[in-house]
Amino acid sequence: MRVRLFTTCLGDLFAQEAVLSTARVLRRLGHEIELPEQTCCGQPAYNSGFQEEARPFIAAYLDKFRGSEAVVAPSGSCVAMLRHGLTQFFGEDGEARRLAEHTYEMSQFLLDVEGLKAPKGHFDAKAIYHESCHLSHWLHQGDRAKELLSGIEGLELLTFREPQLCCGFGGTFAVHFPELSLAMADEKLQDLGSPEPDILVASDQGCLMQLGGRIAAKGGKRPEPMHLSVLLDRAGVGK
Amino acid sequence: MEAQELAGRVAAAVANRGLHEAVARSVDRHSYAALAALSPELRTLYKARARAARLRSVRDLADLAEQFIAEAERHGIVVHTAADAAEAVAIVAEIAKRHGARRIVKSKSMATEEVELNRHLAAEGMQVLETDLGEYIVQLAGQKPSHIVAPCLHMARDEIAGLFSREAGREIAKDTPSLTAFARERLREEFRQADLGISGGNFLVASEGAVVLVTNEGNGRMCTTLPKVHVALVGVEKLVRSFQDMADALRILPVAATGQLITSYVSIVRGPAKEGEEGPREVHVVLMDAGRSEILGGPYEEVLACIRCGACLDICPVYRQTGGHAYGSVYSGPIGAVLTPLLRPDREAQALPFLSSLCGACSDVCPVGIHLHEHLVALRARAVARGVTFASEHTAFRALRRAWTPPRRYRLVRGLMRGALRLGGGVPQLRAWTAGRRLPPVATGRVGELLRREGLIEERR
Repeated sequence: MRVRLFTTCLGDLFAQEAVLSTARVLRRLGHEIELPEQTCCGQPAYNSGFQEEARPFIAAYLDKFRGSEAVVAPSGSCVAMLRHGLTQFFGEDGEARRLAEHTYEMSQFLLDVEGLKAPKGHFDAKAIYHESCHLSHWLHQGDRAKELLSGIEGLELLTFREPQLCCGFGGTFAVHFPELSLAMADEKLQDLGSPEPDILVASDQGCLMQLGGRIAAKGGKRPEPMHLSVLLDRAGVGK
Repeated sequence: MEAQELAGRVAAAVANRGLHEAVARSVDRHSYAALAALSPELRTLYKARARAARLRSVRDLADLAEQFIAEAERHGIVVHTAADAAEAVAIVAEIAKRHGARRIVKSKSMATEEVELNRHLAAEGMQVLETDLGEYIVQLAGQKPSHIVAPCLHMARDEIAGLFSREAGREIAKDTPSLTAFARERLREEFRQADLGISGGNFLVASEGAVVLVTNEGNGRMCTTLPKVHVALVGVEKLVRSFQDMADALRILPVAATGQLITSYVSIVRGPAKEGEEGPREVHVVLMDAGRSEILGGPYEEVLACIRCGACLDICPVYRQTGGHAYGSVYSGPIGAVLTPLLRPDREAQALPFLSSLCGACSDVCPVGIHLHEHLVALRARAVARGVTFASEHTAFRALRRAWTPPRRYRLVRGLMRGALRLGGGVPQLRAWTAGRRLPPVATGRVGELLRREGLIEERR
C-alpha cells in the first residue's frame, strides 16, 4: 500500500527516532512510504480554545494529504485531532470525511488495516505499557496495541494497575496547571512496581515526554521511555 | 485572570496530599464497585436504554413540564415554577414563612445547593438541618459538599468523629457503628420536631405527576412524610416521560454511582395525604429553570440528560488529585466543568472547562453517554470567545499559526525552533514545563533528510 507519513511536530522536534521506526516497520511490511509537505495537526491551539487558529493547520493537512490511500502517524492524539478537525471544519461528506477515515495511528493501522496479529520479533526487556488516553478513549482503541507486543520473544510485558489513569500531559494543560500535571505523573509512576521495568512503552510522544521527563527530573534512570514503533522496529517486526 | 485564579486554587488543593489520598481512596472504591456490578454486555444495554430514555425526555421537556404540572395538580400537589435561583429561593421561603416553620429537615439535593437555599432560609431565622449523613457532616463542618453523591468523601474519619464529638458534647468513637448511631439518634429527634421537609428530586415523572427520590439512608422518605409540609425543589431537566423511562435511567443510576445494583429506597411522592392517611398535608414542587432552558436546543443539550451519578468524578484523573472544592462550584469534576459554565454566566465559571487533561475517561464511563470531553473542548472555545483564557495565549497561538502554516513555512521555522529549544528558549510555557520535568534532547537534523538517507521514502513529483 502507498502509505503517507504524518510525522507530528513532537516527532519533528523531539522524537525523530519514533518517526524513523514507524517508517522502517511499514517499509519492512512492504508498504511504499511518502512524505508530503506538512505541518502540525493544530491541536495545541484547538484544545486551548483557539479553534480558528487551528483551522489553517487542518486546511493544510487536507490540502497536502488529499487522496491518500492511508496516512499513518506515530500519535493517537494527533490522529484524533486530524479526524475530528477534518469533519468539523470541512464537512461530513466528501474528501474531508474520507481522509479522516483513512488517517490512522500506527498501532491502529497495523491492527485494523494491515491485520497484523501478534507479529514475531525479539527484544529482551521488561516493559510496561501505558495506554495513551487519546488512543484509548478518543479513538476507542482501548489497550489493543498490546496485541502487537504479545508475539515478541524476550519481552516481558507489564500493565499498570490503573491502566486507564491519565499521565497528566494534556497538552497545554501541563503548563496551565503544572503542579496538578506533575502530581498526576507521580501517581502514575508510583504504580511502576519494583524493580522498575526497563522501558515504558506508549504510542504517544506527549505521554512519553511527560512521564520520561518526570522520571529524569527526579534523577531516575528507569524505565526508559520508548515509542511503540521504536520497540517494534528494534524487535525486528516485519523482518 | 479567571483562569489564573482557578490555577491558583488548583495548586493549593494539589499541595494537600492528604486530600488526594482521601479522595482517591473513595473514588476508587466507587469505580471498582461500579465496574464489577455489571457484565460488559448488560452495561452496554442498560446504558443505551438509559441514554435513549433521557434524551427522549430532554427533547420533549416543554411538553413534559405541562403534563407534569397538570397531573401533579390533579393529585393535589401545588406546582410552582421558578425562572431563576432567586425566584426558587423566594418561593420556598414564602411557603416556610406561611407555615411559621422554624425547624426544617432536608434531604440531599444539588438543586438546593445550587441556589444556596440553606443560607437564605437561615437568614430568615429558620433552622435547616441536612439529614443525609454526608450532607449532615459537611454542614457540621461549615463546608460545602465536594462530590455529587458522596458530599464528605474528602474528609477523614478522625475529622468526622471530632465534629460529632463536638456536636454531642461527649466523645464519639470513630468506628462506623458509633458514628452512624450518633447521627441516627440526633436526626430522628429532628425528623419528629420538624415543621417542614425539603427535598430535591431524582426524577419528575410527567405521566404520573410524581416526584421520585432515590436514597440509601431512608432520610428522604422521612423528610417527605413526617413533617406536615413537603417542598421539593427540582431542576426542570429531571422530567421523564413515564415510569418506564424512569426505570430505564434508574436501573443504571445506583450502579454508576456506587456500584449497587439497586438503591435502598426509591420514594415516589404523588401528593399530600388524604383524609385518614398519615403524611404531609401539603406538597409543593418548585420546578426550577435557572439556566436549563438556555441549554435546550443548542449544542450542549445532551448535558441535560445527566442523572447526577458522579461516575465521571470518580473516574477523573484530575478530580482525584484536587477533590471537588477546587472547582469553586456546586458541581465539580467533568460534569461540573461542563454544566457550571452553562448554568452560570459569570466569567469565573467559564474558566472551568480548562481544568481537565481531556483524557476522555469521563465520556466512556458516563451511564447516559454524554460526550463530556467534547463539550469541554467546545466550551474552552466559548470561554476564549468571551475573553476568558490564560495570559497572552491568544498572541501565542496566533503567532504559532502564522509561523507554522503553510507547511513550507513550518519547515523553515521548526529548524529555527530546534535551535531555540536547544538554547533553552525563554518562553514562560517552557519554564512551566521544565520545573519538574526534563525536556528530551532536541533533534538536530531534519526528519525528512534522515528518512531519505535511509532510503525509506518514495520521492514523487
